[in-house]
Amino acid sequence: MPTLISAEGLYKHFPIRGGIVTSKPAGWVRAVDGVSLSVEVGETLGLVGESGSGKSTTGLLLLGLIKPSGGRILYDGKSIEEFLARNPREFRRRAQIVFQNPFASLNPRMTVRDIIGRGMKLHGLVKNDKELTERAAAILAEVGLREDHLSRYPHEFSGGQRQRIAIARALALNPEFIVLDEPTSALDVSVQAQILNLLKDLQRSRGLSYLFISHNLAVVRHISHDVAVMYLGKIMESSPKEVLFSQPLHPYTQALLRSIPKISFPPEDIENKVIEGDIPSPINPPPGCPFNPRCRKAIDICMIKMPDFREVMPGRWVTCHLI
Amino acid sequence: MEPLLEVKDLATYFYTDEGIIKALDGISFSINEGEILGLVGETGCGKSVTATSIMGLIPSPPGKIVRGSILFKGKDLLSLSEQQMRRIRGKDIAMIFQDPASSLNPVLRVGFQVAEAIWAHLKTPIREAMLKAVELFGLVNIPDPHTAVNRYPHQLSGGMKQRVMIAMALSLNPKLLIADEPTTALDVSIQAQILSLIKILQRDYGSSVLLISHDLGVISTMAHRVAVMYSGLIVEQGRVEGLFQSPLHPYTQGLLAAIPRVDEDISELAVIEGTLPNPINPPAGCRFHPRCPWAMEICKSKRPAFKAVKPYHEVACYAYAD
Repeated sequence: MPTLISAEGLYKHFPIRGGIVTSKPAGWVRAVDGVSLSVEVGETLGLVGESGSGKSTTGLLLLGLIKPSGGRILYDGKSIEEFLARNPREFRRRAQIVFQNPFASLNPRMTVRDIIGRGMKLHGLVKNDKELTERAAAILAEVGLREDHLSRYPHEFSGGQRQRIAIARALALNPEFIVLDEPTSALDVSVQAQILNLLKDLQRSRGLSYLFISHNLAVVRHISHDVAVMYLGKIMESSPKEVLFSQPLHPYTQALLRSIPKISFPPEDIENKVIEGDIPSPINPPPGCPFNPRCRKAIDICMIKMPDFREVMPGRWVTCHLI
Repeated sequence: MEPLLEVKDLATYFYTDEGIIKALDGISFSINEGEILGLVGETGCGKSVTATSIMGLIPSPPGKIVRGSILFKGKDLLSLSEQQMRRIRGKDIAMIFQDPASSLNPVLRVGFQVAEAIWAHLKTPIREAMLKAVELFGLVNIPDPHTAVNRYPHQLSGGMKQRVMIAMALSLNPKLLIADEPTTALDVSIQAQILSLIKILQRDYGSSVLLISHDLGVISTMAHRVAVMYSGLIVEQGRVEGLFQSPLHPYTQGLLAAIPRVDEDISELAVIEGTLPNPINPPAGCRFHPRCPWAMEICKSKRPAFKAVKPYHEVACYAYAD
């Protein structure tokens, strides 16, 4: 599969404002700290990590919604910086986003028709109001809602239905790439299944590429083709889904997969599966490998030198001294 | 053996301007000594109302327990005065919540908050209670407990705050711990730490636990028995192995088929058609019937009774009527 969007050595450091008088930052939050990844055409890259690992920041960087502190992003072989400078509208049309909380991401004063139709209107994709209504109705049907929902407001819908509206809004501009930032985390499990199935169907019918951001490894396993595991702004491991879940290489991935409570009998012994310690602060990450304070396999070099992100087997990338 | 807690036909309603929300509409279950009972279900099914009803913390108005009984060590909690209930709350029955940040007072040091609970119930001098707090912090694996007691909630991570809550819950050695989604707000790697802590404490202290969660993996790993709730009612309960390996109720079956697994590939997730019922005007008969693939005529008019289909495995469904 050809690559749609890729990042190389991407950095984003946010300044911490020191005080009222000085404008010099008191420190830096290293939200994204040297990330390389790629999303293939028609496929899903799952980006997993715990809170503060830099997943969402990576998503915003790929959409060009925030400027990177370093590194570069290529969209369709072109630098997105150039793309955005030359034709910002075209880039915004092609790359869309769906957020976690559909209660916050839809304007409560707009009808569903206007929410879905606004982008089409602004981008000149429809000639008149009649065509807008027709197109909006067609997209609504595609996400499993009805035409008579067009004139309603967001508060009249359940969480799952709202997320369908948010997906319809993203689809309205006929995009190629959608960043899905925890799209099912606010939903109940039975509704989550509906949305995940819908996203898979849409990918098949429209050939969409997804960056699927989630803290839920089971969901990521279900929807992704490739998976990247983030920890403290860095990608610790990335590889095709099948091998990542069956033979994780990085000690962090291994520990994370082990620590998830599973439905299995006899029940697992949770006490043996604990990852000790807390997630360090991204303001003051530990020297060397960021996982070293919690890693059972850590050796001396892990505390001194940051390991490189390198390909250890075809398609399998790991940031670890031991592999 | 006499169960520690026995809930019988409990119904809690909320009287709102839109109508009566029947949050619980006649649920019955029991918890034995030293047992972990898991309570699962989706948003609005009544899991948390069950917990607050047992604790006597239903805000009134608009809420009211309209019928049923909650027997704790043979005594009906619903017949107690607020003052008597206060002595039980915290001491005999303790509770930890989903969001530890909102259960701690932001302007008091965390050690003091634990010590205060001990003082309030046992009249232990506060100095002595502080020493006890340090001991408890060590017990729940808070690093450097002598320093940690002097910290304010905002200085601690989510996982550490939940440990403080557990330390507080344990300070009086309660017979029953109610944990309402104790790890939902926490990261995966921290979740296992907290769950293992609850498990160790249940084992070493012999406390019973009512563990409320929407996460079937958490329930399967932790609980001995499980009750599945749907729209204010329990639809199935039984031992964890039996219930998860061969679920009887169509809702439980649907739920288990709808979750993606981290340890196996599922090509297409099963979907439970329809949406959760409106709690003000729930469907007549079995509340699951509008979404049920097996629905029969009788399901639409009459609520099914609980029936033990297998040993230790009960279900409320007409499909199992003989």
